[in-house]
Amino acid sequence: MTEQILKTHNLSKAFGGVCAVKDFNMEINAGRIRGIIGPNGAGKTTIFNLLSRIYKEDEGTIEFAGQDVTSKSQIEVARMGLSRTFQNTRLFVGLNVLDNVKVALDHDGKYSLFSALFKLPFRNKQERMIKEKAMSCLELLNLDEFAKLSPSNLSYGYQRRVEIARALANDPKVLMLDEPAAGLNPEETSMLMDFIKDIQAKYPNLAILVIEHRMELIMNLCDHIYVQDSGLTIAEGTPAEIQSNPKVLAAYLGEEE
Amino acid sequence: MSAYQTGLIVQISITIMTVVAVFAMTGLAGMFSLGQAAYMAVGAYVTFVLSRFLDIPYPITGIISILISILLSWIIAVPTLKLRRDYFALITVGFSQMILALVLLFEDFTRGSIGFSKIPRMDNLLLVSLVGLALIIFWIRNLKYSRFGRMCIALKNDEIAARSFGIDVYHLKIKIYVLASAIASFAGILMALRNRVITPDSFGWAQSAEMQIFLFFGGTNSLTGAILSAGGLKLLPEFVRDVTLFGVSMQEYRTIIYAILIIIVINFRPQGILGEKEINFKWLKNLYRRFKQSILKKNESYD
Ligand SMILES: Nc1ncnc2c1ncn2[C@@H]1O[C@H](COP(=O)(O)OP(=O)(O)OP(=O)(O)O)[C@@H](O)[C@H]1O
Ligand SMILES: [Mg+2]
Repeated sequence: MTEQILKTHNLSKAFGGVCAVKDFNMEINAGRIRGIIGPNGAGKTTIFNLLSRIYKEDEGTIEFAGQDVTSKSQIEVARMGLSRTFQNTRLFVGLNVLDNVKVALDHDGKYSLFSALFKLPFRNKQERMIKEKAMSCLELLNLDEFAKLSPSNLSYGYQRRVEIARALANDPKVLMLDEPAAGLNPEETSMLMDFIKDIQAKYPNLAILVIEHRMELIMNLCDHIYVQDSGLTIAEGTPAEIQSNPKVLAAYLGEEE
Repeated sequence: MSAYQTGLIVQISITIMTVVAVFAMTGLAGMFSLGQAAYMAVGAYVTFVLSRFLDIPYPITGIISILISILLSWIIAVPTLKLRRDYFALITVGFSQMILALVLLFEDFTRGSIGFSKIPRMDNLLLVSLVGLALIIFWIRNLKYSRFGRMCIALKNDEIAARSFGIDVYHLKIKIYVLASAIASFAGILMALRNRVITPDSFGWAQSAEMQIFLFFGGTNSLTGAILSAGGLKLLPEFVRDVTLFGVSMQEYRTIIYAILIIIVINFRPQGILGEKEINFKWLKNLYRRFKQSILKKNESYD
């Protein structure tokens, strides 16, 4: 359980003159939940975009599953088991909930375009396996009753859950959630936090990284929190340490009150 | 069946084929191309020019022409599918103009704008067209409901999100574009066999635009919508052939009619007539059930 799965060293990224992330150091072990908090524009999403290789870093290194991944592409790290959600819901329109989950398994599908076009028996067998796997993921997270629905017919809270289920379908090593509670009402938010805890129980080897800008939300979810402000890590530690850190209170909590 | 009717059925089959191919490319994978008619030109010209000048039977040169289309579309796709979508659409227009320019340049072989005529008669053209159409619909339907179809819909929605699920967006798009272009070139061969003459102006970008119009009219997310709208809209001018307006047959106003229809659809039903619906057995059964229920209800109210 103490296996280190993801680690960054002095990760930095600037846009034009603006320093979005500066010398970011983090690490996370399998089976753990860590949080990144910070006000708007602190650079949280940029960190995820660097980790998932949507952006190329200016400086620093990223080590994932024992490999340096700085030269790898977004597709490669995704296939290595680095999974993420986005700040705004990105369920695929035109596919029902089950098919949305299947998409996460499809790059790894074994049948060729040829057997797809001719609907060969091998294709049917593989499709059945993909369906079973996607269905069992939905069942595990108690979302199977929505399988045939179009995502747009679900409430925002359930759309988020389906998105997270989809990100989990391919058994990733790391799950990164970018403000999963954004746009949810208080009730939906607390249900979603329970949902994430439930995931930790059901996927014991999964490392989860959560972005949030409301500190109180992830206080009893995470083991360890990084506090970002204007690209810099101004504090890190256990939730209790963060809550009593004067720097955090000044720079972050202070402005919210 | 009269020659006119056979010719019409073949023509409509060809149109549906090309629109079904465009459905795979634009409807599923979100690649908006205005150059698919150019691949029809490649199919038609390569098949019959080679056949005549090298004295090879046209079924063989037909296969060669499809292979050349595959190669050409691959060459076009490799550099351009890395670009933004709007650049891709522009380049396909340029490509189709280039193909037509080549047809005029090699006038000695293609007869330029006079048209390449004396194409051999094919006795079972109707059968070949219908079987070809059935096969192509079968393929694209299977494509839609396969892992490739799902990945296409995903990347059409959002390429970055698709990549975050390990989908190789670039190579998938190349595959689908090449497939659609191969189908278009097959349709081009059939069109030459039907018309018995090939002229460059039947493969202009307006022809490609017509395919897109038919697709958008039926609904970009519905294969059956694409089929019905292609068949229906192609047939429509035939009904108004004898109606004249300002001394000209209504058929000549085809493009204007299409333009008006598409403006109406885009404004009042932007997802197309069928939207995301597919007309299949289940859909028909539901319709039948609803129909029965409404009749039962009516009877009840009479009691
Ligand atoms: N693609 C980009 N191009 C230019 N600037 C960018 C880009 N992405 C982010 N930035 C800038 O980097 C800074 C950090 O943005 P980021 O989205 O990472 O913040 P965040 O912490 O996720 O904020 P929020 O809570 O609003 O989501 C901002 O100043 C933003 O304007
Ligand atoms: Mg953000």
